[in-house]
Amino acid sequence: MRKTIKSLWLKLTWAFNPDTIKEAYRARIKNFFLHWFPPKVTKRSFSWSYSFWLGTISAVLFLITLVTGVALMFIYIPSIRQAYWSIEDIEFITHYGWLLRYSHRWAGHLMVVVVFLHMMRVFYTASYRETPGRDSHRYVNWVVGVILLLATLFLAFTGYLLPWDQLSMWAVTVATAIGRTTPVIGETLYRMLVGGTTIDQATLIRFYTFHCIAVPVVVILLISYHLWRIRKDGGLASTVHHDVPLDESISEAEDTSRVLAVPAVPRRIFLVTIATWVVVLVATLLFRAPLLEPATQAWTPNPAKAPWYFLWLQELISYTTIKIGHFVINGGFVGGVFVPAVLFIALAVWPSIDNSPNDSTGIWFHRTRLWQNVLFTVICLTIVFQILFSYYCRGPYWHVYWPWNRPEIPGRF
Amino acid sequence: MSIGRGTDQKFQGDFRVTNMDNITEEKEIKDHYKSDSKWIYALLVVLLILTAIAFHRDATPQWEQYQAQFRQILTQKFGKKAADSFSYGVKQIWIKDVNKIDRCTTCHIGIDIPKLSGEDVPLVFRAHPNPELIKEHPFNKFGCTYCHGGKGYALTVKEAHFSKPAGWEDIFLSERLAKRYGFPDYKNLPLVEMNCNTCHLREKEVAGLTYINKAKKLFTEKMCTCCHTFYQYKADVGPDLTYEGDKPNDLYDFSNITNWGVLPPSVFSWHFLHFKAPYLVTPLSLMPNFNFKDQEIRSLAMLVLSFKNIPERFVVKPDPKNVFQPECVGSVPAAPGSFTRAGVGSGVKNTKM
Repeated sequence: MRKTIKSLWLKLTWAFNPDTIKEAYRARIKNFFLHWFPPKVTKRSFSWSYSFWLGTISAVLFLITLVTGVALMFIYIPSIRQAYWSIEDIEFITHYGWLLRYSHRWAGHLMVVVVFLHMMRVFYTASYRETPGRDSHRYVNWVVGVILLLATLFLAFTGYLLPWDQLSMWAVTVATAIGRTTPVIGETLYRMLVGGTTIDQATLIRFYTFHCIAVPVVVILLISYHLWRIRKDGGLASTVHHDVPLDESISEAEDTSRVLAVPAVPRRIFLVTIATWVVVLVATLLFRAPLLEPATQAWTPNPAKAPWYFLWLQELISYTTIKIGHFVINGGFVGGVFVPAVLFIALAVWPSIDNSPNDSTGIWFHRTRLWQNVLFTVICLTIVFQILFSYYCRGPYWHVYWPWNRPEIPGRF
Repeated sequence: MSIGRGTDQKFQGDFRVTNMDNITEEKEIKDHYKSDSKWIYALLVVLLILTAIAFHRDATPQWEQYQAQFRQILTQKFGKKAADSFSYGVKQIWIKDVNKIDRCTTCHIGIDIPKLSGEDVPLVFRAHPNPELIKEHPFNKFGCTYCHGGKGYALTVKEAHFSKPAGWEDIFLSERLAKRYGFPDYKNLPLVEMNCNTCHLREKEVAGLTYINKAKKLFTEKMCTCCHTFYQYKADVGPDLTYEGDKPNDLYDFSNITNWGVLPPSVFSWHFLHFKAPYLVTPLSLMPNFNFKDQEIRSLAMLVLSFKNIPERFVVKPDPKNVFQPECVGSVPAAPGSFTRAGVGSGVKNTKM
């Protein structure tokens, strides 16, 4: 009996304790969970300060939202009459309902942040550049990444409506009204998304389906492609071509730049997973997810703010809505649609604009890319500053206040 | 045979890996980045602690402590047998008619047990102080929050009583709140009268509603309907008061109130200050200053905030002798020293129902 258990244990763990290189390779190939790792990875891939493991963290956060989200789907009712009350039930009656809801919320918000940081990392290190001497398609992966960033925002946005409280309904009202100002297609798009002219039952069920089925499926497919692509392109981008053929004549000690992928990579991924989970759990235990009163069209919170990741657009709109006599600039279109569209298109095509030498690939803040880094930083900081400013300093009637004496519209009592 | 630039080499590499017979056996290969394990163990311990905290938080809800305490009281008062018949768990009142759920009785378990009305019983478990009222307003039909406000769904003390809704949702009409607005008899929860009056609106006098009765008397005496529309009484000098209590806070103009005094900034305070000096709150107002006393103002503010639109089936049909009829007859009586303008009220016609 003891022998059986011991042999079973060895069978399960042998991939992680190889005695020889041969065994290490074989273990990797034969195991379903390990076979997508390359035989060897560069030591650079393990650097914390180079990649910060942001891609992995985003994937883990997505996994957390997926697991908690499916659990929440068992209790949540996507009907405007019951949605709010089912959230209250999740919060007060369901065992671990609060844990699921808060974890889901914090993981979702963190995902928006981390995916954005991941994009910044890739930009600063020019990792969208093709690997010299290799048939790579990193540009494709960059574009997929930009789409994933948009998908993440859309996931967060559609989830924002589901509690059906005053916060969510009016935030979505603001954000959809921004999109509505697009010329020609704006109105049609708005009606397709909202399912009518006002945020109502039709909107809730559409957002629910987007949030729970349509977008996650797309994101899962895109993440799979994103990971497969980076594996085929040889891992982290670098000026040096590490992808020399595996040669048995190079012994473990001699190969200075690479190490065996198994067990180092799965172990590292496990570490990142747990660390991310711990962060989400700490946030869950410390901070509640907000829930205001049930949504109503009867009164509007003052000010009504978009979800925080769209606040920079709302801020831009308030700057670009200009009236000079009869001349009116449609701020909704300029700040809410035109500027972000230009920014995202520029982001997607940037690899073909970037004409710095190959030496800059995989190096943080390479001097040949000084100006584009400065431009990129300015744009990113502007967005972050706008979000913080709008979140903390905008009070009733969109007036500016210091965060510590921002007044509130008085309540009933 | 070339598959693509560079890729065929890679392919060969992989091929050789599967054909591993020529790989030299090398004893003792190095396990790289083994220090990760330390962090994994450390974080697993943290994760375990956090999970334990989460488990503890979920396993010991606040209401369970109250129910355990209640059981002790039952044992002391009625013996072990009575205590054993008490069953733990979330209790709720579902008022089917309005699809409202009140879970207050999860902690306020003694509310309908007359034997627990003594002063020695902790306030949480004490029976409702007004059994006659409860006779006519049974819990299973009215619940708790319809009269008292608060968050019926919530199961923590803080959330149920003191969650801070910004707008229309009914706040818990506590002793503390009444005290803040300067009610001398705040211990009797005078603000609850507002919710009584949502159904008892058509009655001139209702036993027990001191403030509302007084306010209705003033409403009739001062002939508010000469200027304000109120149900069938039509007038167009001032704003319609029929559903004044439903008016959301963002429709109030707070901009002229520079000094709230001792009052907390709120819609109730707005009405308070407005009754005290209408032209200070709305400068262009035609409303006279009636020189009301503070207690009268509190009553009137409660009255106008109780003017809500509720389904007709909930409205109490009054006794023919006891109908609230705030008719406008003739002209507006000028209050001493009031701010009046010529013609107000004199030409206003009322249509009777």
